[in-house]
Amino acid sequence: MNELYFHLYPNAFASMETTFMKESGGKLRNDSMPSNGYGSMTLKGMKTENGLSLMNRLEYVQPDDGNIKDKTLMKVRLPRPVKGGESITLSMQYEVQLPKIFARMGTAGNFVMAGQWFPKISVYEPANTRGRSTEGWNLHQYHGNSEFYADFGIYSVRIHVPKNYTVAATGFPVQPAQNKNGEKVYQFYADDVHDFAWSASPDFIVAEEPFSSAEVPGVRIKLYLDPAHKDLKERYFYAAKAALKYFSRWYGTYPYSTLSIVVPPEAGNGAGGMEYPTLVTAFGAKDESPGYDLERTVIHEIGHQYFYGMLASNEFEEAWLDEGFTSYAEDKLMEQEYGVIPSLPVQSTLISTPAPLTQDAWKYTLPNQYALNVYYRGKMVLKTIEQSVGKSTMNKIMARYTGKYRFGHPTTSDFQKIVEQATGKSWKSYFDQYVYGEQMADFAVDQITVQKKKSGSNPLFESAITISKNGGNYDKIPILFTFKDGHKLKKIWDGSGKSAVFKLQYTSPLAWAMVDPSYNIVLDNKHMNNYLKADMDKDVLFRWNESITKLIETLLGSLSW
Amino acid sequence: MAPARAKIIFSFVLALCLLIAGAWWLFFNPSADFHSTFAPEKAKLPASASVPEQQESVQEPTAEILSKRIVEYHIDAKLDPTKRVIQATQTLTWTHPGKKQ
Ligand SMILES: [Zn+2]
Repeated sequence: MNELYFHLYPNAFASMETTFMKESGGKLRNDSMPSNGYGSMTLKGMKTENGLSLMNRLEYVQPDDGNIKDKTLMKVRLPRPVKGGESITLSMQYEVQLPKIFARMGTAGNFVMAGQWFPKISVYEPANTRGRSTEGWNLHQYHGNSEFYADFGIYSVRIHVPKNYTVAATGFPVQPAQNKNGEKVYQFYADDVHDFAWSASPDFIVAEEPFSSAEVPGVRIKLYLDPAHKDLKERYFYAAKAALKYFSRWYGTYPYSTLSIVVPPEAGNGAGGMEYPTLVTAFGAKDESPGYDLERTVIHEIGHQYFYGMLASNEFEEAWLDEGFTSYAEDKLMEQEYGVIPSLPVQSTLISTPAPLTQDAWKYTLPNQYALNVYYRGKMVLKTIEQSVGKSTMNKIMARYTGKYRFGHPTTSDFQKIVEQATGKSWKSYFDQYVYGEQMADFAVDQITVQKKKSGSNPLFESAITISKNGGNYDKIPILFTFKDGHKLKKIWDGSGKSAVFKLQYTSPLAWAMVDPSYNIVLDNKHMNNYLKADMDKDVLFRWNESITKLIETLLGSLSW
Repeated sequence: MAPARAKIIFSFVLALCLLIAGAWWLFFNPSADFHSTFAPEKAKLPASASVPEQQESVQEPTAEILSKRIVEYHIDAKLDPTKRVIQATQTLTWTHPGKKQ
């Protein structure tokens, strides 16, 4: 092997011409790049152990899009090859100009978030890693929609800050911070992690609590609060403890000795809601009495300690293995701990541009397409498996998946195999449609016709109802029929074929029919056609109105998103 | 990363409003803060008494190895907040995990 590759992520913010900035338009979530907020990384030196400079052997590469203005990935030609199993040591000197925060890293006033702040070596995948047949580098630039992928290792990091600053970091300090020469020096250590992040501010209000449970041998939870949230310590600690306890029970012991929670100031919100190994950020502190988004964010990021942190799937190529699984875990814990039930019918309605879950993150190019697929469609795919196999089998599936692939860089097909082993059947058709493919479910009441069969004192009507399948397959589709005299009838369609006609003979004509009346088919994203009134089939607008009324009735009981 | 929930909620509310010509607008007033309006009291724990400043705990590495440690970083970083700059040196040792020569 004659070359190494490094991610220089801060160069994503070097100009409007980088791949990240072109794709994102300088905006992530709801945060825009502040003016003059550019950032970059300048490599000032790179040497081998023998002192040989490699500075004339560097080259920026752009394997994803060929954009030569993008300097987020760098190739180093080595003076002599490294053989399999051998090690190489390089020393580097660099300067990071921090961007102003809008996308994860940078500064906002006094607040500093140093994430993806050092030259990080890319992942070299041996054969059979994530299903690849021959070994090689996994190389991607930093994109508007993409997170990260790295190998595990050891980090020993000394950080110098002005003496009034407090530093939060991945891992733990191995000695108390020292004040010398007018600065404060921290020495941190972390192992079995694949990234190292830190945050600094003179304003942090710090609190620390030990936590242990049957599943967690002992963790120190460290809170670094923006002063605006100084009275909310207990809410952060409570959410963190619940997450550590139950995620450890469901997905394996949290093995690290610390978990740090950074609460950025409002202006640093772009750095909020982000996961790093053993360090998470909450949303920017703006509201003195925020709703459940506070807990939801802490729980989501701690969920990432499993799917991003320990399983460490490739977020460039299979972001759903991280975000979809984390969102599924988050919903489950929010329901259990806070009684907040997600409104899946609303969320599925939002998925207007479904796309395969195994496509590269930057290929979701339509508005919100990345988030709606990777987070929402991803978790709905898991929720549908749960509905099909039952909660107890699903818990086993998740426990086996997180157990077998702990520190293991799993891929989507690894998860499929776990599902198949646990249920003893093939899930190919389901995965082909909803995971590798872009299907959603869509069942509709298409047509209702009523014929009078008998008049007089014993009338008889035959109502014919056409139900159609416009999307992917689903096993058992419930249908509710309501007649004009108020009589109700439930039937189940097995979903075979493109459509089915139900002929019902009864003393009263049919008033309306509704497919999936409780909105249980979570992957159905078109609810407007679930309901049809017998005499209203021409009036499309009215039908929508009625459908929305039904939808809202279902939702009003559980207003959470 | 946590998704931008507020924006997604907003776009749904907007879609609903467009669809049904404003009839339900009163229910889903997009300018209202949904979460705090509907968050039950349970979410709002009472403020705790302020805790005195405590010394940060210090720990030692353990001998247990959980992952395949491919890389080892030793970094020395210095923050200059007035310039928004980090100056750093790092030594990195990487072990080739494959077979290729
Ligand atoms: Zn996330």
